[in-house]
Amino acid sequence: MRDHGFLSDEFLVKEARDGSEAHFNALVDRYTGLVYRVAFSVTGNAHEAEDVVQETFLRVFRNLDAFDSSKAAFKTWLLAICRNQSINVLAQLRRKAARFLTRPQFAEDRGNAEEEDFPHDQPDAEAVLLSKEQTQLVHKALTKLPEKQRTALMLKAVEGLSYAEIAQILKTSASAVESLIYRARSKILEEVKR
Amino acid sequence: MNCEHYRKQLSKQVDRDLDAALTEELEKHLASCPGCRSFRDGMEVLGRELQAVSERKPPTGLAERVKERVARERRRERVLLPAWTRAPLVAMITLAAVGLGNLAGRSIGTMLSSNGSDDSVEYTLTAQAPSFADVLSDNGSEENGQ
Repeated sequence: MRDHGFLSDEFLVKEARDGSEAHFNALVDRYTGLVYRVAFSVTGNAHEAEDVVQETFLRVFRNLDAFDSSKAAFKTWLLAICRNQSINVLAQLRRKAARFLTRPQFAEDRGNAEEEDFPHDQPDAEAVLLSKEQTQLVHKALTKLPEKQRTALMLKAVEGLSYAEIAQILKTSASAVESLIYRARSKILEEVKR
Repeated sequence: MNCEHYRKQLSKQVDRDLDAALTEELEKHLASCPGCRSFRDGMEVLGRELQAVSERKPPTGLAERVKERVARERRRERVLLPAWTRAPLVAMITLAAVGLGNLAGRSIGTMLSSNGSDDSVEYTLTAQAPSFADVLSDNGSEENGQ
Protein backbone atom coordinates (compact mmCIF):
# COMPACT_ATOMS: atom_id res chain seq x y z
CA MET A 1 0.00 0.00 0.00
CA ARG A 2 1.19 3.54 -0.75
CA ASP A 3 2.33 5.79 2.05
CA HIS A 4 -0.12 8.67 2.38
CA GLY A 5 1.49 10.07 5.50
CA PHE A 6 2.81 13.14 3.73
CA LEU A 7 -0.51 14.08 2.14
CA SER A 8 -2.68 16.79 3.69
CA ASP A 9 -6.12 16.02 5.10
CA GLU A 10 -7.68 18.28 2.50
CA PHE A 11 -6.06 16.37 -0.33
CA LEU A 12 -7.10 13.01 1.13
CA VAL A 13 -10.67 14.26 1.56
CA LYS A 14 -10.76 15.53 -2.03
CA GLU A 15 -9.55 12.20 -3.38
CA ALA A 16 -11.91 10.27 -1.11
CA ARG A 17 -14.79 12.38 -2.38
CA ASP A 18 -13.84 11.39 -5.89
CA GLY A 19 -14.25 7.78 -4.85
CA SER A 20 -10.73 6.79 -3.80
CA GLU A 21 -10.99 4.07 -1.17
CA ALA A 22 -7.25 4.20 -0.53
CA HIS A 23 -7.37 7.89 0.37
CA PHE A 24 -10.35 7.44 2.66
CA ASN A 25 -8.53 4.56 4.33
CA ALA A 26 -5.53 6.83 4.84
CA LEU A 27 -7.80 9.17 6.82
CA VAL A 28 -8.98 6.19 8.88
CA ASP A 29 -5.37 5.19 9.59
CA ARG A 30 -4.45 8.74 10.51
CA TYR A 31 -7.33 9.41 12.89
CA THR A 32 -8.52 6.13 14.41
CA GLY A 33 -6.33 6.61 17.50
CA LEU A 34 -7.45 10.18 18.08
CA VAL A 35 -11.14 9.42 17.55
CA TYR A 36 -10.87 6.42 19.86
CA ARG A 37 -9.25 8.44 22.66
CA VAL A 38 -11.84 11.21 22.39
CA ALA A 39 -14.70 8.68 22.30
CA PHE A 40 -13.21 6.96 25.31
CA SER A 41 -12.79 10.27 27.14
CA VAL A 42 -16.47 11.05 26.68
CA THR A 43 -18.01 7.61 27.22
CA GLY A 44 -15.44 6.20 29.65
CA ASN A 45 -16.08 2.77 28.16
CA ALA A 46 -13.71 0.90 25.84
CA HIS A 47 -16.37 -1.17 24.09
CA GLU A 48 -18.63 1.81 23.44
CA ALA A 49 -15.65 3.87 22.28
CA GLU A 50 -14.93 1.28 19.60
CA ASP A 51 -18.53 1.47 18.36
CA VAL A 52 -18.30 5.26 18.32
CA VAL A 53 -15.17 5.08 16.15
CA GLN A 54 -16.93 2.86 13.61
CA GLU A 55 -20.06 4.99 13.56
CA THR A 56 -18.04 8.21 13.28
CA PHE A 57 -16.12 7.10 10.20
CA LEU A 58 -19.28 5.75 8.62
CA ARG A 59 -20.89 9.14 9.06
CA VAL A 60 -17.81 10.85 7.70
CA PHE A 61 -17.99 8.62 4.63
CA ARG A 62 -21.68 9.30 4.09
CA ASN A 63 -21.33 13.05 4.59
CA LEU A 64 -18.00 13.71 2.93
CA ASP A 65 -19.69 15.94 0.35
CA ALA A 66 -21.08 18.11 3.13
CA PHE A 67 -17.63 18.86 4.55
CA ASP A 68 -16.62 22.46 3.88
CA SER A 69 -12.91 23.09 4.39
CA SER A 70 -13.50 26.85 4.44
CA LYS A 71 -15.54 26.47 7.63
CA ALA A 72 -13.43 24.00 9.61
CA ALA A 73 -10.40 21.78 9.38
CA PHE A 74 -11.15 18.13 8.67
CA LYS A 75 -9.87 17.10 12.09
CA THR A 76 -12.21 19.54 13.83
CA TRP A 77 -15.18 18.36 11.75
CA LEU A 78 -14.30 14.74 12.45
CA LEU A 79 -14.03 15.32 16.20
CA ALA A 80 -17.33 17.19 16.27
CA ILE A 81 -18.99 14.13 14.68
CA CYS A 82 -17.18 11.87 17.14
CA ARG A 83 -18.33 13.96 20.09
CA ASN A 84 -21.95 13.92 18.93
CA GLN A 85 -21.82 10.16 18.53
CA SER A 86 -20.21 9.77 21.94
CA ILE A 87 -22.86 11.93 23.61
CA ASN A 88 -25.59 9.81 22.03
CA VAL A 89 -23.94 6.64 23.29
CA LEU A 90 -23.46 8.14 26.74
CA ALA A 91 -27.14 9.09 26.88
CA GLN A 92 -28.13 5.56 25.83
CA LEU A 93 -25.88 4.06 28.50
CA ARG A 94 -27.39 6.31 31.13
CA ARG A 95 -30.95 5.53 30.06
CA LYS A 96 -30.18 1.83 30.10
CA ALA A 97 -28.61 2.00 33.55
CA ALA A 98 -31.37 4.22 34.90
CA ARG A 99 -33.91 1.50 34.12
CA PHE A 100 -32.24 -0.79 36.61
CA LEU A 101 -30.80 1.54 39.19
CA THR A 102 -32.05 4.36 41.31
CA ARG A 103 -30.36 7.64 40.52
CA PRO A 104 -27.88 7.89 43.45
CA GLN A 105 -26.83 4.27 42.96
CA PHE A 106 -26.41 4.90 39.26
CA ALA A 107 -24.14 7.87 39.75
CA GLU A 108 -21.95 5.90 42.10
CA ASP A 109 -21.89 2.69 40.07
CA ARG A 110 -21.30 4.50 36.85
CA GLY A 111 -18.30 6.21 38.41
CA ASN A 112 -16.91 2.84 39.42
CA ALA A 113 -17.58 1.28 36.03
CA GLU A 114 -15.78 4.07 34.24
CA GLU A 115 -12.97 3.94 36.69
CA GLU A 116 -12.47 0.27 35.89
CA ASP A 117 -12.28 1.03 32.22
CA PHE A 118 -9.74 3.80 32.50
CA PRO A 119 -6.14 2.65 32.36
CA HIS A 120 -4.34 2.08 35.62
CA ASP A 121 -1.27 0.27 34.42
CA GLN A 122 1.98 1.97 35.30
CA PRO A 123 5.35 0.95 33.91
CA ASP A 124 6.93 0.34 37.34
CA ALA A 125 4.20 -0.87 39.68
CA GLU A 126 5.90 -0.95 43.10
CA ALA A 127 7.67 2.36 42.57
CA VAL A 128 4.52 4.19 41.69
CA LEU A 129 2.01 2.76 44.12
CA LEU A 130 1.16 6.22 45.38
CA SER A 131 1.03 7.54 41.88
CA LYS A 132 -1.32 4.74 40.90
CA GLU A 133 -3.69 5.67 43.67
CA GLN A 134 -3.47 9.24 42.50
CA THR A 135 -4.17 8.18 38.92
CA GLN A 136 -7.28 6.34 40.04
CA LEU A 137 -8.46 9.41 41.94
CA VAL A 138 -7.91 11.61 38.90
CA HIS A 139 -9.79 9.25 36.63
CA LYS A 140 -12.64 8.94 39.06
CA ALA A 141 -12.81 12.72 39.28
CA LEU A 142 -12.78 12.90 35.49
CA THR A 143 -15.85 10.70 35.24
CA LYS A 144 -17.72 13.04 37.56
CA LEU A 145 -17.17 16.08 35.38
CA PRO A 146 -19.93 17.33 33.09
CA GLU A 147 -19.34 15.99 29.59
CA LYS A 148 -18.50 19.39 28.10
CA GLN A 149 -15.84 20.15 30.71
CA ARG A 150 -14.33 16.68 30.40
CA THR A 151 -14.20 16.83 26.61
CA ALA A 152 -12.71 20.33 26.58
CA LEU A 153 -10.04 19.32 29.07
CA MET A 154 -9.12 16.12 27.25
CA LEU A 155 -8.97 17.83 23.86
CA LYS A 156 -6.59 20.38 25.34
CA ALA A 157 -4.47 18.36 27.76
CA VAL A 158 -4.31 15.12 25.79
CA GLU A 159 -4.70 16.11 22.17
CA GLY A 160 -3.19 19.58 22.35
CA LEU A 161 -5.91 21.28 20.32
CA SER A 162 -6.14 25.06 20.42
CA TYR A 163 -8.96 26.84 22.25
CA ALA A 164 -10.35 27.91 18.87
CA GLU A 165 -10.41 24.33 17.56
CA ILE A 166 -12.09 23.06 20.72
CA ALA A 167 -14.59 25.90 20.49
CA GLN A 168 -15.57 24.73 17.00
CA ILE A 169 -16.04 21.16 18.17
CA LEU A 170 -18.09 22.16 21.21
CA LYS A 171 -19.93 24.87 19.27
CA THR A 172 -19.00 27.57 21.75
CA SER A 173 -16.54 30.47 22.07
CA ALA A 174 -12.81 30.23 22.76
CA SER A 175 -13.22 32.14 26.04
CA ALA A 176 -15.95 29.68 27.11
CA VAL A 177 -13.51 26.85 26.38
CA GLU A 178 -10.86 28.50 28.60
CA SER A 179 -13.41 28.68 31.35
CA LEU A 180 -14.58 25.07 30.87
CA ILE A 181 -11.00 23.84 31.09
CA TYR A 182 -10.24 25.91 34.16
CA ARG A 183 -13.37 24.67 35.95
CA ALA A 184 -12.58 21.08 34.97
CA ARG A 185 -9.09 21.31 36.42
CA SER A 186 -10.31 23.02 39.60
CA LYS A 187 -12.98 20.36 40.18
CA ILE A 188 -10.55 17.51 39.68
CA LEU A 189 -8.07 19.03 42.09
CA GLU A 190 -10.80 19.56 44.67
CA GLU A 191 -11.96 15.98 44.23
CA VAL A 192 -8.46 14.54 44.56
CA LYS A 193 -7.75 16.59 47.71
CA ARG A 194 -10.82 15.19 49.52
CA MET B 1 -6.86 40.69 41.60
CA ASN B 2 -8.08 37.67 43.56
CA CYS B 3 -6.68 34.15 43.58
CA GLU B 4 -9.34 32.83 41.20
CA HIS B 5 -8.13 35.29 38.57
CA TYR B 6 -4.57 34.00 38.92
CA ARG B 7 -5.68 30.37 38.91
CA LYS B 8 -7.42 30.96 35.60
CA GLN B 9 -4.15 32.41 34.35
CA LEU B 10 -2.35 29.33 35.67
CA SER B 11 -4.69 27.11 33.68
CA LYS B 12 -3.83 29.12 30.57
CA GLN B 13 -0.15 28.90 31.39
CA VAL B 14 -0.37 25.10 31.54
CA ASP B 15 -1.96 25.28 28.09
CA ARG B 16 0.93 27.49 26.93
CA ASP B 17 -1.50 30.23 26.14
CA LEU B 18 -0.39 33.00 28.47
CA ASP B 19 1.57 35.95 27.15
CA ALA B 20 4.83 37.16 28.68
CA ALA B 21 3.41 40.17 30.53
CA LEU B 22 0.69 38.13 32.24
CA THR B 23 3.20 35.39 33.04
CA GLU B 24 5.38 37.90 34.84
CA GLU B 25 2.42 39.22 36.81
CA LEU B 26 1.42 35.66 37.66
CA GLU B 27 4.90 34.75 38.88
CA LYS B 28 4.88 37.75 41.20
CA HIS B 29 1.60 36.59 42.69
CA LEU B 30 2.80 33.01 43.05
CA ALA B 31 5.85 34.18 44.97
CA SER B 32 3.58 35.54 47.67
CA CYS B 33 0.66 33.05 47.59
CA PRO B 34 1.18 29.47 48.87
CA GLY B 35 -2.43 28.54 47.98
CA CYS B 36 -1.90 29.34 44.30
CA ARG B 37 1.50 27.63 44.33
CA SER B 38 -0.20 24.50 45.61
CA PHE B 39 -2.81 24.86 42.87
CA ARG B 40 -0.04 25.10 40.28
CA ASP B 41 1.65 21.97 41.63
CA GLY B 42 -1.66 20.13 41.50
CA MET B 43 -2.20 21.15 37.90
CA GLU B 44 1.25 19.91 36.92
CA VAL B 45 0.50 16.51 38.46
CA LEU B 46 -2.88 16.49 36.78
CA GLY B 47 -1.27 17.25 33.44
CA ARG B 48 0.97 14.19 33.80
CA GLU B 49 -1.97 12.00 34.82
CA LEU B 50 -3.99 13.09 31.84
CA GLN B 51 -1.09 12.31 29.56
CA ALA B 52 -1.44 8.68 30.63
CA VAL B 53 -4.79 8.65 28.84
CA SER B 54 -3.07 9.71 25.62
CA GLU B 55 -1.07 6.50 25.77
CA ARG B 56 -4.26 4.51 25.50
CA LYS B 57 -4.16 2.60 22.22
CA PRO B 58 -7.20 1.61 20.21
CA PRO B 59 -7.96 -2.13 20.16
CA THR B 60 -5.89 -4.12 17.68
CA GLY B 61 -7.35 -4.13 14.20
CA LEU B 62 -9.88 -1.36 14.87
CA ALA B 63 -8.79 0.69 11.86
CA GLU B 64 -9.12 -2.39 9.65
CA ARG B 65 -12.61 -3.09 10.99
CA VAL B 66 -13.59 0.50 10.26
CA LYS B 67 -12.26 0.19 6.70
CA GLU B 68 -14.17 -3.06 6.16
CA ARG B 69 -17.39 -1.51 7.39
CA VAL B 70 -16.96 1.53 5.15
CA ALA B 71 -16.12 -0.77 2.24
CA ARG B 72 -19.38 -2.67 2.84
CA GLU B 73 -21.21 0.63 2.84
CA ARG B 74 -19.45 1.59 -0.40
CA ARG B 75 -20.48 -1.69 -2.06
CA ARG B 76 -24.06 -1.24 -0.86
CA GLU B 77 -24.11 2.24 -2.38
CA ARG B 78 -22.75 0.89 -5.66
CA VAL B 79 -25.53 -1.66 -5.83
CA LEU B 80 -28.14 0.94 -5.04
CA LEU B 81 -26.72 3.68 -7.23
CA PRO B 82 -27.71 2.32 -10.68
CA ALA B 83 -31.28 1.80 -9.48
CA TRP B 84 -31.24 5.27 -8.02
CA THR B 85 -29.93 6.79 -11.21
CA ARG B 86 -32.53 4.90 -13.24
CA ALA B 87 -35.37 6.15 -11.10
CA PRO B 88 -35.47 9.75 -12.39
CA LEU B 89 -35.33 8.48 -15.97
CA VAL B 90 -38.27 6.14 -15.41
CA ALA B 91 -40.13 8.93 -13.65
CA MET B 92 -39.44 11.35 -16.51
CA ILE B 93 -40.65 8.89 -19.15
CA THR B 94 -43.79 8.12 -17.15
CA LEU B 95 -44.54 11.79 -16.63
CA ALA B 96 -43.91 12.54 -20.29
CA ALA B 97 -46.21 9.71 -21.35
CA VAL B 98 -48.94 10.84 -18.98
CA GLY B 99 -48.52 14.46 -20.06
CA LEU B 100 -48.58 13.62 -23.74
CA GLY B 101 -51.50 11.31 -23.21
CA ASN B 102 -53.41 13.97 -21.39
CA LEU B 103 -52.63 16.57 -24.08
CA ALA B 104 -53.54 14.18 -26.84
CA GLY B 105 -56.75 13.20 -25.10
CA ARG B 106 -57.77 16.80 -24.61
CA SER B 107 -56.84 17.78 -28.16
CA ILE B 108 -58.89 14.98 -29.64
CA GLY B 109 -61.74 15.77 -27.29
CA THR B 110 -61.61 19.40 -28.36
CA MET B 111 -61.50 18.43 -32.00
CA LEU B 112 -64.44 16.06 -31.70
CA SER B 113 -66.56 18.56 -29.84
CA SER B 114 -65.62 21.56 -31.98
CA ASN B 115 -69.17 21.81 -33.46
CA GLY B 116 -70.74 22.74 -30.17
CA SER B 117 -70.98 26.11 -28.52
CA ASP B 118 -68.26 27.41 -26.24
CA ASP B 119 -70.25 26.21 -23.25
CA SER B 120 -70.60 22.70 -24.61
CA VAL B 121 -66.87 22.55 -25.36
CA GLU B 122 -66.11 23.53 -21.83
CA TYR B 123 -68.56 20.97 -20.52
CA THR B 124 -67.08 18.30 -22.75
CA LEU B 125 -63.57 19.05 -21.63
CA THR B 126 -64.24 19.17 -17.96
CA ALA B 127 -66.79 16.46 -17.52
CA GLN B 128 -66.98 14.19 -20.49
CA ALA B 129 -63.75 14.47 -22.43
CA PRO B 130 -62.72 11.09 -23.74
CA SER B 131 -59.70 9.74 -22.06
CA PHE B 132 -56.54 8.94 -23.95
CA ALA B 133 -57.27 5.26 -23.42
CA ASP B 134 -60.72 5.74 -24.96
CA VAL B 135 -59.21 7.48 -27.94
CA LEU B 136 -56.66 4.74 -28.44
CA SER B 137 -59.33 2.09 -28.24
CA ASP B 138 -61.43 4.09 -30.71
CA ASN B 139 -64.30 4.55 -28.30
CA GLY B 140 -63.89 8.26 -27.89
CA SER B 141 -66.44 9.96 -30.02
CA GLU B 142 -69.14 12.49 -29.73
CA GLU B 143 -71.72 9.75 -30.01
CA ASN B 144 -70.71 7.78 -26.99
CA GLY B 145 -69.45 10.82 -25.17
CA GLN B 146 -72.70 12.72 -24.86
